[in-house]
Amino acid sequence: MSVDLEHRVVRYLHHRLPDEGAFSVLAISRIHGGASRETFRVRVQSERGGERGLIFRRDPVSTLIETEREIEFAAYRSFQDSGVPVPRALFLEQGMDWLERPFFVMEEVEGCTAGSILAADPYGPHRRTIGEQFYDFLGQIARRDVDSSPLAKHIATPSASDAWRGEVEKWEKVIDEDELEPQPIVRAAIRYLKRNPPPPAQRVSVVHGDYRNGNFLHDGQGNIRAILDWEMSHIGDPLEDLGWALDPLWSPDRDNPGSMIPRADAIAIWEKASGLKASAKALGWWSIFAALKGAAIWISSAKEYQAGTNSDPVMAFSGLYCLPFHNKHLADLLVAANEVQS
Amino acid sequence: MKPTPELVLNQAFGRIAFEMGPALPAGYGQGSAMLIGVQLLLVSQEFNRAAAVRVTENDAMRDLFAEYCGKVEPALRGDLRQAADSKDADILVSTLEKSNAELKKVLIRLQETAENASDKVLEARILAMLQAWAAARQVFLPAM
Repeated sequence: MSVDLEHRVVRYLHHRLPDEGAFSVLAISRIHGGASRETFRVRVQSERGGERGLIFRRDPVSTLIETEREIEFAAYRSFQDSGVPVPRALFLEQGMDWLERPFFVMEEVEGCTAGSILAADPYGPHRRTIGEQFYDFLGQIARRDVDSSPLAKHIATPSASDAWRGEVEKWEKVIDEDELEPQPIVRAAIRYLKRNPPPPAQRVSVVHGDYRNGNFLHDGQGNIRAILDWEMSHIGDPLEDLGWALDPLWSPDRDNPGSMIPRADAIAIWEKASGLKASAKALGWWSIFAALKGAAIWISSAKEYQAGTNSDPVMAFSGLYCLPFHNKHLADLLVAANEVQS
Repeated sequence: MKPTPELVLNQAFGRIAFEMGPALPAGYGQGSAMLIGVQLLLVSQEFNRAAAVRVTENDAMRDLFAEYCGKVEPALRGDLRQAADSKDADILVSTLEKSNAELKKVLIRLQETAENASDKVLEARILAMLQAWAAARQVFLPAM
């Protein structure tokens, strides 16, 4: 971040928190990770408020997934002070005046780290306890009352029988707009999902949208301290999140999705926490959907990189590694589903 | 070309991922450097096989279209015949990719036709082809 932006941060905080007196920035650094927002860790000190860590999430010039920051902000607010740990969302700015692009500010959850999908064993001896919390929190997200959530004020609530359809159509549109070359496996998956719809959602709930290894903070002692990256959150079938969390892309350890706990244990914990069932038929459908959604995101990011509108290495990585991975996984799932139908 | 491109890219990956990257301050720059290193490794996996993968796919699609052009509805028949008779102008990867994209457009139509006609044999055959091609195009991450 440039000196100019550092100055802008100071000016903004003084505007937002005038009672704290003058602000100074002690440290500022960009965090590597998702390309849907530019994320900055900012250490500030004010005359009367002392020292604290803040996170600034700013819209990029071009993004891997085009999402509305007010939805993400509302999603964080939906779980403030709940059993699901999230950073406290402080301010949302839709204008361009302060930091040249819209952004929001959260409190930093300090002393924590996120796992990486590149790491063979990101949680070490804590993988069991981390995994148990991970799926328990996901079950709690599914349990949260939708109508009273801040998120429900920003987005439509689909019917239980149609929750799947809107999601398939949304990602099909992304593929229609962004594919640089024909995608026969992806197209076959779309047709399969439409021809074989899942059972109606048992409950329509908040869906995190990107709930996976790498999108939460843990303290290194076996405690998840914050669920992050709610930019794709919406309201829908909670099995969508479970299918996404269990996707094999998130870990080289195929027996333990996300490098945490075995798949059967994960499902059992989620069922207990959510009060819902993950039938083989429904979860199978949402697993194919997860791979399709992944492919759509990677197709979109590859286009951005190829077009030169976003040169973040994560955009290239998405096209180079993630898309071929999900193409293969989708093909395997479609072959298996075809054999069952035959 | 000696040293081989694969070797050069592999060595560059090692230098960036295990020497230069870790020497940078933790944060966005370090993460990006590590990812760029990994990308060099992924590109090295694609380099030597890129033309072969595309030639294999293109030939297989042309053979399938030649076999089926007499068995499908007239609307698709002409396009299948034309695609079956098409040739790659040269073996530059960019040329092969262009042919590959044109052929896959036709393949998608044939696959959809098979699904609509409940032709399980053709459906399974195309899926098996796609599965094999997807396996051939996979790249693999290093242990880190």
